[in-house]
Amino acid sequence: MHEPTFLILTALATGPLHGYAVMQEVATLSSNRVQVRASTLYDALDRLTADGLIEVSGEEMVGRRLRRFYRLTDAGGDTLRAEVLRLRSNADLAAGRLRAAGLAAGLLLPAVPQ
Amino acid sequence: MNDEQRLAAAYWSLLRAYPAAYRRERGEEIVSVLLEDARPGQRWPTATQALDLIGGGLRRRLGLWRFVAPAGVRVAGGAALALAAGLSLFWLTGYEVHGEPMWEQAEPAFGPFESTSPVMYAAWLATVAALCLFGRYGRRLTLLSLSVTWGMNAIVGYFLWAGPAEDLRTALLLLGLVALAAPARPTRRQRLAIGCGALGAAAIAWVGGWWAAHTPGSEIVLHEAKVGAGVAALATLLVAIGLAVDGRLPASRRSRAVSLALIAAPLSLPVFWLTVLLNSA
Repeated sequence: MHEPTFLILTALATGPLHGYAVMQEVATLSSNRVQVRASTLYDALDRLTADGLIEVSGEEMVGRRLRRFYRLTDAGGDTLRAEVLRLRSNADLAAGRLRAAGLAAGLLLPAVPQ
Repeated sequence: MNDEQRLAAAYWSLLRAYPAAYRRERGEEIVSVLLEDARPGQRWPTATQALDLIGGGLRRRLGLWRFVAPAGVRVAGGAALALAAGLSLFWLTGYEVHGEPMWEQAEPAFGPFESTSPVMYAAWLATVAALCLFGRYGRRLTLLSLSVTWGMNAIVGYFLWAGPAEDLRTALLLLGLVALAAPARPTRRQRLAIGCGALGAAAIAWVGGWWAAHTPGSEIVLHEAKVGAGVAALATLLVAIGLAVDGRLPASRRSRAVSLALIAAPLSLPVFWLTVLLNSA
C-alpha cells in the first residue's frame, strides 16, 4: 500500500472527514512530510471508494461551499488493520536485526524471543 | 466580483481539464477544498495548483486516475532525465562551444555557440542540477525544459534551419515526456543516481562519438553526434534495467517481469529513436 493511501485510511479511522480535513490530517499525521494536492486526493478517494474501502457518509453546505464526508467501511478497516500488522512485523524484524548488530541506539525494541 | 469569487472562477476554468461529467459530479466539492486551502487574500491559483489540476484532468481523461505509478515507471523517468541531461552536455561541449556545426546548413551563430540549441541544452542541465542539488523543482523545470525544447523545435523548424538536428531535438522531446515520471522529491540516493547517470551518459556518448569519428567513411560531424547519442541511449536503458534488477524489484518472477516491462516500455521509444539515428547517420 502506498504511503498517501495508508495515511488517508488512517485519517478516516477515527471518524468521517470531509476532503479538506483529510488533506490537513494527512499532513499532520506525517509531520508535513506527505502533502496531498487536490487532484491526488480525489484520485485516491475515488480509488478507495471504487474498491469499497471508504464510502460517502453525508454532505453539508458551509456558506457556499460543499463539504462531502467520507468514512471507512468495514472492508477498509480490515485492510488498514492488515497493513498495520504487516508494517509492524517488518519493523520488528528490522529492529531485532539492528539490535543484534549493535546498531539499535534510539530504537524502542521489541522483546527478543528466547 | 470579490477575491474569493474571482479565485473560484479561476479554479473552475482550470477544472475544464477534467471531463465534463466528472466536473459536474465533483467540481463543486473540489473547488470548495481548493478555496479552503487558499491563503487569505489569494486572488489567483498558484502555479502548483494549476499544474496539479491540469495533470489531474489529463489523468482522468486518459483513464490513468486508478493507476499509481509503480517504481518501474519512476526508474524510467529518472533514467530519461539523466539521459536528456547527459546528451545535452555531450552536444553542448562536443559541438557547440568552439566546435564544428553538426550540419551544413547551420542556423546563425548564437554568441559563442554554433547555434541556438544551447538554450535547450542549458534548460535540461539546469533541471538535473536543481533536482540533484536541492531535491526539488524537478517537475516544474522538466515542464519548462519540455516547453523550451518544443518551442525551439517549432521556431527553428519554421525557419528551416538545421534540418538534420530536428532528430536530436525530437529525441530530447521524447525523453522529456518520459522524465515527467521521475520522482518529484527524490531521495539522496536517487539524486546521486540521476546526477551520476547524466555524467555517465555524456561520457559514454563522447566515447561513441570518438569511435564514430575514427571509423573509416564517416566524415560528417553529425554522424558522430548521432552515434554517440545512440550508444549512450542503449547504455542508459541497460543501466536502468540493471539498477532495477539489483534487488529493487519484487521477488516473484511474474511481478519482476511486469516491473521490467514498465521500465523498458516508456524508455524504449526515445531509445529506439536514438538507435534509428545511429543507423541513419
